[in-house]
Amino acid sequence: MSRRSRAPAADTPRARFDAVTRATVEDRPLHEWLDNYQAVQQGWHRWAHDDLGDAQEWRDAVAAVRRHTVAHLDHYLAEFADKVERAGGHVSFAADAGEAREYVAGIARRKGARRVVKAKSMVSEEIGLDAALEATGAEVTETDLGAYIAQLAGERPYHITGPAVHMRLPRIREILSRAAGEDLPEEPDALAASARRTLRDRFLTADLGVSGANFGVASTGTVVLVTNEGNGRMTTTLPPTHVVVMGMERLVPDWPSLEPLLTLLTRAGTGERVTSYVTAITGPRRDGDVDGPEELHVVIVDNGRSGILGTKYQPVLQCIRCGCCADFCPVYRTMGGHAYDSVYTGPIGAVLTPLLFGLEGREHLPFASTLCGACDDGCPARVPLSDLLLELRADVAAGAAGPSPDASAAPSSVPASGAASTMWAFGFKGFAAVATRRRVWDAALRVASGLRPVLEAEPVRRAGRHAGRRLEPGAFGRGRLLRGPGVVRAWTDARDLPLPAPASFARLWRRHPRPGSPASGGGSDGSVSAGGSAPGVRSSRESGDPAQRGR
Amino acid sequence: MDRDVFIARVAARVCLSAAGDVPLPSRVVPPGITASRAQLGAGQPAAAQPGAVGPAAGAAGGPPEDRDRLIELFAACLREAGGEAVRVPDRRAAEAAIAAMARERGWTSLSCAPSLRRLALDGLWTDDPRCADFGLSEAEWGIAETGSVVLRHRGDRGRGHSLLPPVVAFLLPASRVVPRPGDVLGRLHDAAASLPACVTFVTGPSHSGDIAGVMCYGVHGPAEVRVWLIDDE
Repeated sequence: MSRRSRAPAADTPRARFDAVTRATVEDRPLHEWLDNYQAVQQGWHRWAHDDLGDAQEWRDAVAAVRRHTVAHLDHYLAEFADKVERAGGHVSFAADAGEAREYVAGIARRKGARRVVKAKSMVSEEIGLDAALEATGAEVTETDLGAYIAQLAGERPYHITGPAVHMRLPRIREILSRAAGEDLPEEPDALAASARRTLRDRFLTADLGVSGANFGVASTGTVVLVTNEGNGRMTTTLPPTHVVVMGMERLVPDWPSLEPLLTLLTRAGTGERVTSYVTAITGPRRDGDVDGPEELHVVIVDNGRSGILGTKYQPVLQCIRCGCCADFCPVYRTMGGHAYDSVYTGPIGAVLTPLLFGLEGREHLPFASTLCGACDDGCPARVPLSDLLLELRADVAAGAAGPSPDASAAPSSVPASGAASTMWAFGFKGFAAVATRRRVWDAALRVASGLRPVLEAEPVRRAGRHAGRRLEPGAFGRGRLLRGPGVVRAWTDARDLPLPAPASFARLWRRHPRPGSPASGGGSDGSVSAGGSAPGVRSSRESGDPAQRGR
Repeated sequence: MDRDVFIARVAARVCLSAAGDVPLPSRVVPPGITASRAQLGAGQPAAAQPGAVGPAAGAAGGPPEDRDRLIELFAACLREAGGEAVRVPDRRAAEAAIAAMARERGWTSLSCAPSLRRLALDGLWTDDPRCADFGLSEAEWGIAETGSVVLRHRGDRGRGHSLLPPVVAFLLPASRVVPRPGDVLGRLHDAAASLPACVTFVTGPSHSGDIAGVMCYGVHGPAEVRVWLIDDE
């Protein structure tokens, strides 16, 4: 954790992480907004899953299809590409973001595209496609309502399925009013209607439509889009040229294996049985068809994915991008989606971002988790997010980065900071030495209790006053240390430290013997008392209390 | 990157995988969606047994009580998705209902495929859905467990009629309501050779919660969706 105490340079992912996290934590209304957002999403998630009978079996089915596809990806890629071409589409393979941008920009240039409409696509955000298209002179419009608002605001997506979930009505009114050039009322329906008018005109006059793909069906070369607003259908119907940009792992073998994926994608993502539109596109329009694009291009993007294949991180490729891990994550709601500084937010972002873009400089991301497992429980594809976060932490600790994302990239190993990691190792060895010896432990507790007055002189936050709504005032019963003295500060820079209890549980227990029970405080009973003085572990687990997940 | 190089690179990585061979389950069919049926007081339709995916799996062509149950479930799920299902005895009744709606709402322009244009509403029909008040499409299948209609867009059955007008409707033969999405996916799989360029599953109106979490309807697509279930087809 040495890296945490080192003053980060001005504009690094780490510095932005610190700044955004602090800003979110201190923004009480935003905090409550995100809290409420998650509670609502979790409610719909439950509603949609109650419907399923045994949801676990469905998740097994999704995981089986995804695992199989990823394990045979070369085979399905070849089959998919053959079938897309047989249906009259063009397929390009892009090794990295630059190649993918160049393919799509090349199509835009060849077509002389002046107006491009986009249906929300994570991979196009990942490769920075908008800027490349704008560089060709085209006007690029995001057409998903949330993505449109985020684009107008010049912000990254806050959430995989809801790019503007953090924005409250006044801000959205301001953004859409400015875009419309008129003062719009603060009513969602009126704001949506205004966006509809603006965007309808763009759809009808666009030269190029760019979409992502939720799934590619290998057996028929079909691209499947799952949307609610209809912008996906517009983008793939109205412009004369349609470009699909998709991550290479987004395939499924055939139509029947789509059933569990479609069934859980929408239930996990938006808490609906199914979205308004599921669109399956096989090639460009056929002879005699009255509408649909004349040309279809499919750009299959690697950009770091093949580097994950065959490693311990392979299961991350099972992800179907529903975004539900962020809807359950206590850390996401505390630090907000922009803290991930990536197109991928939430627990999947904490795993995927370092794997795709390199661990170097992003060593903090795997630690942005309490490992409470709420994401694991929610994930429809059984991506073992907590395990993968732990693996990444192990890589950080070992000073070796994960798989290098890009063959051409500089070696991404983390320079081992000698003194700091020695300190870290020493700290843990010391803790182990104390915690495994009863007498030493008791002595340490007494010393800690004695230090209370000293610590109380430091800025102390009373539980419940500044803490999130879910931290009940009585939950800790004691103050929490915001800024510790000396070495302790390295810890409190990133966490709150509960003050040591005046007396340990074991001591209290001994003083108040129960009638009929031996007044012994030793052995395993004693370990219970550790609550007051094993602070960091305790506090992080409290805030990820599984009981809260049930809400 | 060259296709062969790209795929060879993936193949080389796949070989490293410790997971080894992961077989695709022979047919991925988890248990039926039971809760919504229970709500309706209906039993488990025989067709939705695990494993029953494919052309033989029951459409609502079976015994009349099974058909009624499926249609009831379809209507309930579509209602929950914000749409409306209306059961009519035959195509004429649906056409009369459209004519009544057009008069009542003062529509001046209705769009649909020429092959559907059998109504006595001369002068109102247009081929161009971009400025129509209402769009009509023929649905291929209905899915009871989600309230979806499935459209196969080919020839004059354009994509725009069900997307661009603010109000859209679908004609769905009642015998073509199947229990679950897998029944349709199985049929599409079996008829892969004749797959059209676009197949769309439509479930209720276009909507979004992107503005401060408040549900808005008709964001890009139609705000109102109606399905006429035609009993004698």
